[in-house]
Amino acid sequence: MTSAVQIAKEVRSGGRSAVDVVTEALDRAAASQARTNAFVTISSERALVAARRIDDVVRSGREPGPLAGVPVAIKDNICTRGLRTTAGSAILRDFVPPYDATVVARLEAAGAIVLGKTNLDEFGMGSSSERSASGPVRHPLDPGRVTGGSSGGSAAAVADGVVPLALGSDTGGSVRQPAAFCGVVGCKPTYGLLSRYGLIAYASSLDQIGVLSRDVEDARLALAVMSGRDPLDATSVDAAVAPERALATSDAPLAGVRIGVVRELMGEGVAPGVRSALTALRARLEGLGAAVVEVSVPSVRLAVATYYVIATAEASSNLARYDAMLYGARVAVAGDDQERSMRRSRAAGLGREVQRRILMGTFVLSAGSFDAYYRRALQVRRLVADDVAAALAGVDALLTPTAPTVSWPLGARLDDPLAMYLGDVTTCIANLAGAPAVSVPAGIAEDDLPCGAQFVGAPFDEGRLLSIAAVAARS
Amino acid sequence: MPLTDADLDHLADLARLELPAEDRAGLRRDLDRLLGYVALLQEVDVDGVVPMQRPMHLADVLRDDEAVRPVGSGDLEALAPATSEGRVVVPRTVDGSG
Repeated sequence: MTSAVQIAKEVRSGGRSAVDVVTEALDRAAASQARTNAFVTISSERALVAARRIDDVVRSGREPGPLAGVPVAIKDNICTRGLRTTAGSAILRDFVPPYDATVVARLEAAGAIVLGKTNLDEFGMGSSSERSASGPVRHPLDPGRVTGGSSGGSAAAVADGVVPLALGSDTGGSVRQPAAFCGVVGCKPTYGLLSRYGLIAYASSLDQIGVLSRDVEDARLALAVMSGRDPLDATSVDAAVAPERALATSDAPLAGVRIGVVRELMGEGVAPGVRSALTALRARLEGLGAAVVEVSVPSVRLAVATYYVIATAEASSNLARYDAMLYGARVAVAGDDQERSMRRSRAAGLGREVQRRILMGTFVLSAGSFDAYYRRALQVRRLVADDVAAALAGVDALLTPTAPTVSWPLGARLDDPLAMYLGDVTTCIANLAGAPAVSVPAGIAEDDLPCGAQFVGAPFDEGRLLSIAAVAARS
Repeated sequence: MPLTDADLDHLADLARLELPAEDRAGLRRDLDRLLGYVALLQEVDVDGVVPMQRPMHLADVLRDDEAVRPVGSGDLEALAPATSEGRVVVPRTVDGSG
């Protein structure tokens, strides 16, 4: 698979046409779809029209943009004008957005071409990409296993070589965990780096759009193109992603870099194969000049509980909008009763996991529970964020396994929501703190399946974080 | 304390969800288990800790006062489950007998 940087270089120079690039990618998408179900929609026509336009721009000598001709896949909870966007939910099965998400508009303005919309856990709620109205996504290396989630379709599309670059969203690990399971790179930038205008909201104080790719430098280029304040998202800020830092090119590129291994995330609960892969990576990083020390995030044991109270509370509020009155699949009821139509439409259109989270969020926000659950979780969130900041104070990045295990067989955790939630412990600390985090492939662990290493950095320090991750990925 | 049937009814009512009878036992069991797990937050000393609503400080920033073209009413109408003469049709919200 050619990298996005390389494809853009070839298309920009006229050495390869965008139509050729896209035609080949569409062929790969069709073949992959039959095995992985990575896509909800493949947008062949839109992609070919866009490719012809890029080729015209190149022929006329105008500037086609830094991602000229690069096919990208977009998670189906990110709005695309005129292209169906379902969020994996039956209630949005016919929803065609009248606007583009800012990240999509910026990618297209940079010359990227939307190849299709990728499958996901409904509204981003899941860690396996099995809970979609379009059916489960299957792992490209073993169709009997999950890709992880919720951005599993994007991870499968990149891992299967369909596209070099895909967008996901990450509320508690939904970009990084499937990236780790599928053996690709996944980056969740700092809260605020990318506009979320057009992202279908799940938990607004945690949601962030992220990038999946084969190559760390492709992720950097995509983030650079998409970042910057957006007047349509008050939580976006004016920050840029630094270009690749010229780390010493000698045999010690990490000289002077300090990395903190989070003690609490290397012990009990982490599969032996994942732990060995991380230990081996640690030795390689030391060999490349890094100083690796142990650090502590004592409140990590509280992170999953904190995360699920806050995420479900925000979900119950955000998903109140799906009442099937102005848009969405409406169930008609006898007597033409609006309230009953809403209740039936929500029950029929929202999946079981989504309903479970709405009910849990409703509970923690309801009178009598608010202070004991929701307010308390916001207080513990500050303790977790303070612990992460303290751990980062003496190092350039934290290092943890991206997930405690490798991919599991389809269906294995569907009846045990708590077991599914507990796997988020390694990733959700970055969402609670708002910090950037990137997962890179860390080798092969249990069952000959890939695992990932996660680097967590200080807010808006993506430039340095990606440089460290790039060295680790090549090591 | 486990959720009662009445608790589940109350939550479903607040969330505007009509729960199918066959899902109720499973949902109650799942919610009990999840609430039992998150109860570990009750052991934490949070005295004096300021709640963290979001991971960044936000100040109000107004958009520039520029004219933009909004999404057209026709585009919005196209999304609606039912329309008539440029209006969205919804089920009855008030009693017609008054």
